[in-house]
Formats: sequence, C-alpha cells, structure tokens
Amino acid sequence: MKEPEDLFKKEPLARPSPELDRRMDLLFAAASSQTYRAAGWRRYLFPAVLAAVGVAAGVADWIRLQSPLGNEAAAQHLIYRLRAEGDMQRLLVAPYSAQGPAPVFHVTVVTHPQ
Amino acid sequence: MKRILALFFFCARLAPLFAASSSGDAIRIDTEIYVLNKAGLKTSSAEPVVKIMANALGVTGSQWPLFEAPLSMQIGQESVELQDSRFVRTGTAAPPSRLSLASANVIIVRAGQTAEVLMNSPAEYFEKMQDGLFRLHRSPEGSPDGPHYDMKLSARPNSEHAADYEIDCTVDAVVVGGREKIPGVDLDVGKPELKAFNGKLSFQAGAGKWLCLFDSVPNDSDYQLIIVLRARPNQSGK
Repeated sequence: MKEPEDLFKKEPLARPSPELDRRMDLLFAAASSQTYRAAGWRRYLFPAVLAAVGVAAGVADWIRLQSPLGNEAAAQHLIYRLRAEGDMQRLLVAPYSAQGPAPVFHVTVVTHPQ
Repeated sequence: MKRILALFFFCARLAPLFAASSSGDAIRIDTEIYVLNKAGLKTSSAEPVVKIMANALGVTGSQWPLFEAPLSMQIGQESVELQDSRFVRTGTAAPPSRLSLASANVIIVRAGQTAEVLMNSPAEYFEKMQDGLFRLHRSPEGSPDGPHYDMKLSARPNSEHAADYEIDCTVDAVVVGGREKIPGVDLDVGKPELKAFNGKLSFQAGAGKWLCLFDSVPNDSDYQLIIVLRARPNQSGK
C-alpha cells in the first residue's frame, strides 16, 4: 500500500535550475515576439475588410442612384387612382345638362390689389 | 481597433447618406382638384358667370387661365375666396355651395418624374335585346376606354431661379358626350358616346406658392375643374 509513497520519496526534489530558467525565458520571448508580429497586420484585416465592403456598398449605391439606369428605375411612374364621386362623377358620366348647353365658362380677370 | 470600428460604422452610414443626398431633389406637389358646378347659373349679357380677382400668370401655349393665390371669385351671386388651398365663402369658413373637392393628393416626385392622378367612373347604359327586354351594361371599373380624367404632373427645379419650379401638366379626359337613342325609349339611357379632351400646360411656380388653374376640359359642360397646386422641396415629416 505504501509503494507509491515510497516511490515519491525516492524521487529527487525539484531545485532551481538557472539553465532551465534561461531556456524557458528564451522560449517565451520567441513565442511572444512571433505572436506580436503576426497580429501586427492580421488583427486589422477583418475590420479593414468590413470597412472596405461598407465603402464599396456606399459607392455602388451612389453610382446606381446617379446613373441614368438607376434614375430610370427610381423614377417610376406614379399613379394615384381614384374613383370619381359626386360632381366629379357627374362631370365624367353626365356632363351636359338636359336643359341644353351650360353657360360657357367665362373669366374676367381683375388684378388683385396687393 | 476602435478607430477601425469607427471608420467601419462611418462607411456603413455612407449609403443612406448618399441616398438622402439624391432624394434631396425630391419635390412635393400638393394638388387639390375642385369641381365647379355651373348648372343653372344664368348668364346675363352684362355679367360673366364667373368673375375672378387675382394675379394672372402669363402662360404660353395654352388657353388655361392660371392664377396665383390669393384669389377671389364671384360665382353667380356667391363670393368665394381661395385661402391657401381651400375655397371658402367670403367672410366665412363655410365651403362654397357650387365647389366640391374631388381629390386632394400629396405627390412626391423626383425632378422630371411624372405622377398621374387618374379618376374614373364606370358608365352604365341599357341595351334593348331581341326579345324586347332591356339589359343593363356597365363599363369595366378603371377601364382606360371608359370615362376618366387623367392629369399628369411633373416638376423640375428652374435652372435660373433655384426657388422656382417648372411644372408640366397634361390632361387627358374622356367624358360621356351623349347617348345613343334606344328606339321607343325617351329616357337618355342608351350606349354612351364618349368625347375626348386633352390639353397641356407648362408653367413656372414659385416654391411653396399656391396656384390656381382653371382646366377648360370640357368647357361647355355643366362642370368646371379647378386645380389648386403648389410645389416645394420635399422635407420628410412636413
């Protein structure tokens, strides 16, 4: 039962090792400098691509709106459809009275006093 | 990193800004179409049916009278004023007895874009069948061949005066000019004989100023169309 405990006791105790410390320092220093150099431009890649896409979309939209083709698409014919009612309906369907022709519209223009 | 993100969001906002700069040219045309009922107005030799007091605007290439608000009218015995876009009896807020509003539209167009106000009404008529019965016919709703009033409007900024607009107005109207007689029937209920009218008017309008246009289509009927309109830059929410 005490065999593992005995085995541990027989193991040499860890002692500070200047050589190991030096090698570890070198390793971490190398890894740190490599990571930093790589991130120097890669960490800006994604935002830069997003920004470029945003600019491209904006410019494309602007060109589309300025171009004759884009304006033609935007300048579609607008139609307001209404059903004529009341006097407007009578104007279309029964514009002439049965009693004969209506008095012809006659305008006398007097300049408005300002 | 924060700078890049800020740049991205700035760029992302560019598209709507460009769009806004393009739609900044949008023009709002407020249009109201009135119908003046002339039926029963008596013409005396001395007095015209309608007398107008207003500043007449010079218009070339058209017989349509065009006036600038304010405007006063004498329709028979009734005095009427145009206050902004509304006609009222002089000295009151009451609507005139012979004027009715047929349509009021807010039209927003780009410079040079055409907008159309199309009003139509189906026409009904009777047809005598072989068996002596009468069959009621009705022209299809919204048919371009049926009675209609179609006004096309387009506006563009004046190249010399930025505050003015050049407005083109084209009217195409088809009305029932008469009816075919049905043998043995006195009532005027036969097939409509359609009568077409059209006209075109180009004029200059000061931004935000109400103008009043007397459409002479058709001139000899019981009704007269009066178009009140103004053009101004479109400002969203106003």
